[in-house]
Amino acid sequence: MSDLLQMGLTGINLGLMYGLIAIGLTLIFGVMRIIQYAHGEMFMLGAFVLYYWTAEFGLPYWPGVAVSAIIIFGLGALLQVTLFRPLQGKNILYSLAVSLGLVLIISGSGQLIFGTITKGIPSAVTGGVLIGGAYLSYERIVISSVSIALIVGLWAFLRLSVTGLAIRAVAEDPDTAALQGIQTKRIHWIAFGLGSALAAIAGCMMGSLLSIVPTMGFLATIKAFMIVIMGGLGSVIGALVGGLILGMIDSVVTTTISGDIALILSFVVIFLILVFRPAGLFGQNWE
Amino acid sequence: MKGSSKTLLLSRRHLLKSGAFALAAPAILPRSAFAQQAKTIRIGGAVPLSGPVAYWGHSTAQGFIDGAAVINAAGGVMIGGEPHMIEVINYDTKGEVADSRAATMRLVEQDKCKYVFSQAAASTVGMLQVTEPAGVLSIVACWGYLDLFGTKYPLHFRAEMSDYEQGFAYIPFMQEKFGKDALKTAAFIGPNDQDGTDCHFSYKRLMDYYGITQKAAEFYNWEDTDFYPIVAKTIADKPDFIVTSPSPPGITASIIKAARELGYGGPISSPAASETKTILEVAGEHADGVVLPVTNVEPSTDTQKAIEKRFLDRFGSFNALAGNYSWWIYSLKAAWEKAGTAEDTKAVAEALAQVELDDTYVGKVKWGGEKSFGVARQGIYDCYTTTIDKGVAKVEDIRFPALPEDY
Repeated sequence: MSDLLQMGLTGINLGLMYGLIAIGLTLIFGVMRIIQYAHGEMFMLGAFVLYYWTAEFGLPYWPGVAVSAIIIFGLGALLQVTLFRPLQGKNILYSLAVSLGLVLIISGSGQLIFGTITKGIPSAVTGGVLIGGAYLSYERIVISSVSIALIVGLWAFLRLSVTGLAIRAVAEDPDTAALQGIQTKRIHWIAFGLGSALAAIAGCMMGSLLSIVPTMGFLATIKAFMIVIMGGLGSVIGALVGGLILGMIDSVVTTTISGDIALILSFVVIFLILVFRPAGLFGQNWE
Repeated sequence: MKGSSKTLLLSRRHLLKSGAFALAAPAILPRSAFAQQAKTIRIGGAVPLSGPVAYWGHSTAQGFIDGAAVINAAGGVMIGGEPHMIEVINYDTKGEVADSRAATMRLVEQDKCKYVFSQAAASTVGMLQVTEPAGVLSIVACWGYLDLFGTKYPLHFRAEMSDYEQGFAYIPFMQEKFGKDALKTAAFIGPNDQDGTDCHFSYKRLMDYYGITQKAAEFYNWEDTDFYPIVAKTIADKPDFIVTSPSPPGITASIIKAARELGYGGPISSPAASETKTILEVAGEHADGVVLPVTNVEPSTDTQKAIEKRFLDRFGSFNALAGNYSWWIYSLKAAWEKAGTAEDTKAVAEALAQVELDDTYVGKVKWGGEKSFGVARQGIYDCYTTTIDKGVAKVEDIRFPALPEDY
């Protein structure tokens, strides 16, 4: 029983972290219809900002997360304005090529600047609690809580704030939104910055839990794409549900069978979802 | 550690500078300089200087650059009474087989290197496709792919002790430290690739030798981000200790942290990590009870202290892993001088297999494995085992591996 609970708690925790990475990616696609392949690099840079803030400069953890989010928001907005805005309305392959180039540039520069040694971000909290025989560290509780708070916060922001409603309007129909007086260019850089900031916060959280290297972004991007395809491109709820499905498969199948089978099963589930719901669980048809 | 990014940047800058100087030297220096030096021995490095295993590649290259500078400053390699200067050329393999093959081709065909070195399995596999047919001697750090080692590859040397050789030092140490009865069962955690499979094979042989029962063997995907599930599965079998091999420091640290958080209190040995900073940063309070073979974090002899100082001066940083690789070039120097040639790589290979060094960063060094592999091409040396206790890493044991008679 405690084993099942442990698998469940680990799966939920993993799923929330995965969801947090993927939500930023789905937000960017939903608003701009571009493939931001360098999303994982924002995740990596966010983790390194926090690393230098805490481990190198000895400054407190949580302000470091905020600083990381702000810096990466700015970087994301800058990238949108300078690189992706000119590609607006063009074939999606253009943005794919640009973002792939960004992956190589940022990852390569990261190795030059940050070095190649694996680093660790000191945890914000230590210790843990036994729940029904299953162990849950306070660190994982904090990470799960932050993930839930951000996802709920983003959901509320998109529904209750003027900017959030504008983002949704642009995502729904950019031409009609523009006719209603919404500055679509402004919404684009805000959404891109917001998506990047969410990736940065996810990087901070996972960087504290695991370890960080300049090449960590690639795997984050792969996971994020798996989740977004599963949940539906452009859907925040889809990213959350997709993250939880992937987290539970990783936890339960790896613990009971093996990691290889978990990876295979993840893709089998994605294929099945695409067969029966080609737009993903909560996605809409972007054709 | 404050300023580590700066030191790493310096390290890379120095490395590139050294490589650039090595390449440019013939053009920059006056002819008279070369006339005096007469001959040069070129050693080529096809090593990962970028990508996930770049840390290993940089550490290896640093050993050759530093060693070449020291040997040249002392008058070079004396072959037939004539001094030979060493030139080191490094190319990046990115840790990929194809890039390593291309880099080695360039070293052999363009730079005319007869001696090359490499690091990690992928770079070694790519290198061997070129070196043996070309009669080029290779020295590498590679634990797996044992079918690419032995009598069919007489010019191929593996200088770094694999988890198998290390085991004949750290298992006896652990048995003394924790008690034989406390270490009756073990579990293995490694990557699900050829390297992981080969290391599991070595680990199994090791455990069988010491009569330790294997409780579990789990293989992770390199894509795995969280090690809770695989560690939960491993410790469910209640092994007395866990071996994480050949996992790099970051993954080892994540495994240690997960194991401790999930309530596992037994020793965790990591024959591949060879580094304590990351483990302490990531695992923090949970790092206690970790056993790190071939990890000398406390240079104590004059030679070790001198190597540490030179690396700090030359590259801006020093790590135990770089120290482990620093003896390779001195072993080659001894072989050239013993063979009386640097042109005949077969003769040098035979001489190299006989080389023994007494005072290196890793203590006493020799080449072994003749009964196991048919040729003495495996580096064997004093195993400095570091343990972590109360957040502090310290060398707790130094011993030469007590390898079996049939090794």
